[in-house]
Amino acid sequence: MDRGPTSPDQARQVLARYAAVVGDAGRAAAAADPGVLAILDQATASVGDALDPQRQPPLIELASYADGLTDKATALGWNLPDVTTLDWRRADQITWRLVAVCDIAAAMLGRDVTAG
Amino acid sequence: MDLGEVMTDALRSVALFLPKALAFVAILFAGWLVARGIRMLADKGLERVRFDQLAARGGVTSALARGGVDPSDLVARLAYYAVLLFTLQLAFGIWGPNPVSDLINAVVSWLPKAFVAIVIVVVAAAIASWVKDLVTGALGGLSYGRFLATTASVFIVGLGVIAALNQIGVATTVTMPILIAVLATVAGILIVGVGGGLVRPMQARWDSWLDRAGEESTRVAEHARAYAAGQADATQVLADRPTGTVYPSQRTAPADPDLYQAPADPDEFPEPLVPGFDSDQTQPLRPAPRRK
Repeated sequence: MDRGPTSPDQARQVLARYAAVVGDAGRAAAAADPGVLAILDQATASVGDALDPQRQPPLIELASYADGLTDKATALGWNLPDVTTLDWRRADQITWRLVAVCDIAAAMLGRDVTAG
Repeated sequence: MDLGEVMTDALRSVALFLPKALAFVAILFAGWLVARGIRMLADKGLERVRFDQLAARGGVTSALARGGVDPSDLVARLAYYAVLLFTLQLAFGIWGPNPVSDLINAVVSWLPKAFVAIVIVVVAAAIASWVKDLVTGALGGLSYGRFLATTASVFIVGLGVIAALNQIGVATTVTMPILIAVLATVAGILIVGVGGGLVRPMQARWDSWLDRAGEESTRVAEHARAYAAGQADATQVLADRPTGTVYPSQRTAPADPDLYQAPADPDEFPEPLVPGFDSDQTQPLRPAPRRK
């Protein structure tokens, strides 16, 4: 395994990449539809449980979690769906967790991660 | 014993002695001529290759100038006397073993050492002058720069002189303890002065290094833990998916609004698929086939 992001700056870059690929689209969909927002909340809770539920996960953990999730899922045959045509109500769990990671990171940074 | 016999003996002694004496004088004369020739050649040759200017850079010239000699002259004279010595050695060799030959042999065998000693002094003087230039150039702006430069060059010349004395075997018993004492004193001053003065700054530096290493290792550990958590989640989520699920990007056909292809036989699902959320928080949403 590589060393992964070990500085907040690296972590921010990794998270910005996820936000650009899937996170921003998913969060936009959640903002537009309360039903989808509920799904996002569930995914956010799952991510929080997977990391340390007692505290807010640092950016490095979020980025590493997203890396581990994507790497393993890809190894098991998962592929990132096309977010422009995706029906978010039926999006798969991996995709939703990536969106949740981006959502948590955006909330921590107080702004859109792609801007950072 | 009669007179004739005595005369014959004396004549024989003279006859034996004369050729030796003649050869002795001849060898001395020839050697002297050769030595003079070599002295002239060496002087001219060394001046031709600008040996004086070379030696002047090492600061030896100024030391020799007081004696009214220039370096090429000195080397030429050395060569002259060396050839004379060899000549004497050769000439006295005719008389067989004798005290004068022994003395000359000792001097001749000592000559290489003397030559090495001279080279050591010249090289040390050159190094000292370079170091002086260097230190003056680097620290000339400081009030004590000139003093430092002189100290350094004197120190180096001193080392060279001591080494040269050792080389020619002079007073080794005196020079070695002096050398060791000087070196030990310098080392002691360096250890106490530089080392003692650096204790606090080095401590602070070590603290910051260790802090940084600690932070770094914590981050690496966080990364490893989070990465493993992500992998575990992915495994769990994908293990729970219905068999036969094909994600849109895996399809060969153009993208369908349906995200999941409904399995041919709904009974092959291992557990009932309920749209909505699971009570189990780690798997809150189970992908459901589209129902029409």
